[in-house]
Amino acid sequence: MASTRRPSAQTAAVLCAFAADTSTWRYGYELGQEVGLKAGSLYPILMRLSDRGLLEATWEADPPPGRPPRHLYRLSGAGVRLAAEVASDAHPARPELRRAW
Amino acid sequence: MNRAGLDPADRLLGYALRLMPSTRGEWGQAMVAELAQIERGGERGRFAIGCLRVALWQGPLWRVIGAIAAQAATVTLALVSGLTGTFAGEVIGLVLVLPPGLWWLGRGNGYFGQSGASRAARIARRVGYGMVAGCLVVTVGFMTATIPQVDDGVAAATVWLGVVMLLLACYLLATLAVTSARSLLPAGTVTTSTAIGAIGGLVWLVVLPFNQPLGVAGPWTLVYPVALALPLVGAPAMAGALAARRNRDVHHGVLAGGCTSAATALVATVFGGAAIWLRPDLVDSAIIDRGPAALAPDVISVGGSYLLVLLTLPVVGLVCGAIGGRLTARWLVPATVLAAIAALCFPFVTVLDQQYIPRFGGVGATSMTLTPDGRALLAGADGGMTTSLWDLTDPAHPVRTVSVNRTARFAPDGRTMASEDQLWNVSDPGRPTHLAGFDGGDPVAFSADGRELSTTVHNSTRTTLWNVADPGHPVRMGTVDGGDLGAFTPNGLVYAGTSFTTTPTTVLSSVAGVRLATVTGAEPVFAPDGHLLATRADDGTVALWNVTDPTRPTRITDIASGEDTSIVTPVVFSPDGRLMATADSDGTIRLWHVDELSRPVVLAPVQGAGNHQIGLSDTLTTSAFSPDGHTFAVEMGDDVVMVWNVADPDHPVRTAVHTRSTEGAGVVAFTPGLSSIVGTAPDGGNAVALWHLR
Repeated sequence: MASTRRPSAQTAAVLCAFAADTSTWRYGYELGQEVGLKAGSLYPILMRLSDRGLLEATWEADPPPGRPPRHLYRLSGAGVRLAAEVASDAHPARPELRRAW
Repeated sequence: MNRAGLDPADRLLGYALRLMPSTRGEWGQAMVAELAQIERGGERGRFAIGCLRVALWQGPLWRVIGAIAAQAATVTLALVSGLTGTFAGEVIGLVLVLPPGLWWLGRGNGYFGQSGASRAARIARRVGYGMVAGCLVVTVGFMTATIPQVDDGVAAATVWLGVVMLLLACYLLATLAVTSARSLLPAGTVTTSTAIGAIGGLVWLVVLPFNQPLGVAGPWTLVYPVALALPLVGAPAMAGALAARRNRDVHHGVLAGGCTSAATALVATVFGGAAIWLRPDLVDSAIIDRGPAALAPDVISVGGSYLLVLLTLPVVGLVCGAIGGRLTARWLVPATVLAAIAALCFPFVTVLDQQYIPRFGGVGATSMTLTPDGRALLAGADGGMTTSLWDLTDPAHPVRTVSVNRTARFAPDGRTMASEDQLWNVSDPGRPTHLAGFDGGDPVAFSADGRELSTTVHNSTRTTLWNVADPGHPVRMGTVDGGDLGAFTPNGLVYAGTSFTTTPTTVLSSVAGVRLATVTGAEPVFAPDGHLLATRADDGTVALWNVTDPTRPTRITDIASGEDTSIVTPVVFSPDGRLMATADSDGTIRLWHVDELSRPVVLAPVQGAGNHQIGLSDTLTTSAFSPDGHTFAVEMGDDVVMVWNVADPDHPVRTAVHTRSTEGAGVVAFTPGLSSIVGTAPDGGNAVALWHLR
């Protein structure tokens, strides 16, 4: 279920990071470092995306000994579509506003 | 990576996970796994702090902020809208305590947590905790409102009510704990114990009323307390034994005993309270007659013992459950132990037993009025805060049938009684029946024919006059100046009410509410012929007025007391109107011929009899003429009642000096037509004495 609300800049950044390679499972800390978000900001975004069905999640299948399995995420089909919309909206938005003036 | 032990970041994350709602549990595990990947200490700390932020915003923070905002808004609204009054503090306290209490107690799975997953179970528990919180708030409200004035009898009563509320909260909490999912007791045991406890409570209630028929002496003396104690002890012991045998664990016996006692106490409280509320006359010595303010101290002392039973019951239950559980294999032994415990309970139920002796007055007896047939007595008590109606049909066994707030008045025929906003038929004082309600406050005076009644709202300076010719339908006639002191003229056409707005003045009004005249002085008393009015001034002098024409009262004379003294009580006229009595602050009583006011006859105090309390208060000396006017009695301010034959007023003869067994100032009244005197004392003892005149 995709939201009709335009995502925030931080959410858009997370979506773009996921959209770069939609088939790869990512984990939270690594993703946060890539988009420059701390845990306090990143996890609420991941939770929201997951709640809306935009994100698939799974547990690491074969963790190294002595370490708990990590939670992995990638975009669902709806997530991929939203990421594409966000990517296409990102460039024309500002010129349109300028023309309005 | 393997780390030795937990560092601060791990602990912080652990705390964050506890705050995280259960629906986000998976995310918490994800954070733990991520943290395990991070090597650098500073980075680990920042990550853990970020996770704590998430947990707070996902979990309780919003709810706490929301609850605080809602509470602040409610309290602000209450204060802005001018919420005041007795229970304003309680209401605000309830708003502050209830939501967090409900959230905190109903949320988890601890010993006070859920009993089941269903919606109904959750609602039931939250309602239960709401009641606990409510009881606690009311308790605090009662205590804080009354502790500064705890010497007051009513305040003491309110403190006791606070204790009742606290007790109820404890029982509710115990019930919620024992029925929670984490309780040690299996559901079947809870049901059995509660049922046994309920039966015990009912048996206790059945035994309770047998106190009066059995009496307090003779061979039945032991039967009553033992019969009263057995259900209280036997029920938890039996439940404890059953639970211990069923579950093979003595701890179950203890819990089952406690559970049983809680059920017994609840049944006793609920059904006993309902019985007292519905038929106070049948449960004479029980707890509450009519609302908190109607509690007289003597009733409280009985209530205190009753509460003591309820208070000690859980302890008794736990002990009996433990004993019953441990000795379950040999039933003979627990039976013996039970008998021993019942014997131990004997002293405190005996205390309860002794409290059932009816008492008059209580602390601060302030007034006594008898009906003409002498069958009913109104005794003001508790510093004037309550008045009780006593059935004296059998003078040896007086029974209190109604207690009311502040004051009550008999109509002259003794068949109707007025109390705050109520009229009663007291033709049978053993069974007073309610006639009508009215919106007038406390009764002040009936007219001589009983057709008019004046009433005033407590501490008001206005008096309402009523036509009560049909007591079932009181009709408002008018409103005049006057407080709680006033009198009708014997013909019932004029009302004199005292107004204390500036200096004490007495306002004469027609019963239709038209102001006729104003005279100085307070405490108006009309002579029996209605032409003479006596008022008392602040300086201790009495003014006599000719009110033959009530629109133009003329001052006849002023009566002063002796040197260095003042007249301390309202004057008393003899029934034929020829004599008038005044009492000075030094104990001197003077009889005045109304038609020759310059020549009083002095009735000296008894030598050696204490009258040291005279002068401290206007209420400490009272006097009364007998209905035939030949006998005059004075309560001398402590325990002495003097009786004078005043058939020849110029040569009064002292015929008797009675001494009450109780000490302290009191009031005196004649029983009309019965040739006896009653006197009471404020010390709370069994304080009404009845002397037959020879």
